[in-house]
Amino acid sequence: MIRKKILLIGDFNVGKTSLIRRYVDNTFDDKYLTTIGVKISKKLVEIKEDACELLIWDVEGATAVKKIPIAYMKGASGAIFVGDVTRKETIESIENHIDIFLNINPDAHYVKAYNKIDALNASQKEELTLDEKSFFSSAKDDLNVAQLFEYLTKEMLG
Amino acid sequence: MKNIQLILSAILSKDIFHYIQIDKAFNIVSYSYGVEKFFPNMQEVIGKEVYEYFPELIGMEDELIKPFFIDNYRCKLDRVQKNNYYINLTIEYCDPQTLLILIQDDTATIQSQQELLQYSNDLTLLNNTLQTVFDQQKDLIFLTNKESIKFANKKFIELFDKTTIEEIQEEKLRLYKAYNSAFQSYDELFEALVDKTGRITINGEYFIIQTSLVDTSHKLFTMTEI
Repeated sequence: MIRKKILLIGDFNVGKTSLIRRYVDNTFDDKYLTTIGVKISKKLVEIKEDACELLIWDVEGATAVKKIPIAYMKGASGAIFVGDVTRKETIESIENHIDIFLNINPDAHYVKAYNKIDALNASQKEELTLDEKSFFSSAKDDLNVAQLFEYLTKEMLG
Repeated sequence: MKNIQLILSAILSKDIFHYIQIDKAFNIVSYSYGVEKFFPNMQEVIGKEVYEYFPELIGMEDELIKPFFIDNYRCKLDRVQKNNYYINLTIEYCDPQTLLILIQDDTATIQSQQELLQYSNDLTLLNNTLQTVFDQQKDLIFLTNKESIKFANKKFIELFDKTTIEEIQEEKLRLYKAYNSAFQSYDELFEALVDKTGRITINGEYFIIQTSLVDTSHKLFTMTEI
């Protein structure tokens, strides 16, 4: 079976763990519990006739003084970069995270999650623009969570 | 015997109590007593691919084989959560056919770090929330401590054509001079405004200024545009 290592990367409290919990266990808890280090979850994805086991790395979020350890990124085939739409600075830092990740894994694929979209009203959403690699997402409302992972899996499987 | 000595030496040199020995095909050759606590459902382990227990190593194959070719090369992966434990992994050369995965149980330390990180992150979020609340006020607000401006809301910062509090701090503004040119400090301005309001002109704009003591060292000033 094909196995792919992917990471969720972003600043702290953008909802990385919640996206994984929603995707893997279909659960959601809005209490914020900081992730430290890394925890791996597995999920089998079937794209057409291909089966792929995703090894999903839930890594601790970046803070102003602490970046994500490079060792966690080595050997990854893909990443979901997550920002919190209610915290502009977490969206702005996504491009920096992408640069670091692609520097280590030049051939890797990625997708961007503009998360916690449930917290914005319609006019606030209109102020945000998405490119082809971006999704609005909400672990709380289960919006586009599976789509994020499936889009990335398709990209990785070519 | 020599093999046991190598393993013991590696373990004792790093205050490590668990190990898994793997061959060049990354299959498990042996492991230490007690390692089961990290892996629920650990059965008939010998001969199985190490990835079954350490999916963390998938994708790291190029790194894993380096100890066979580079003297004293070690792969490290720290703060891995396994079954409610936090462990640090070091993969190093054991003999020409095998590698050792040394497992350091660092749960107590990392749980303490997690509590501190949680506290720090919660404070950062609270600070961001308060900043947002202050930024939505119509008044211009700034907070002083030890004669410098430590905090200001967006309207105040924009009055000086700046975008961040750091830029305001670099300016070393002496706004007390705008109230009374003889004043030498924000403390003097504070004393002058206790229980009353004053008028102040900044950049050609007129404000009513008032103050309140936040704590023994912080003074809050509020300026309302006239």
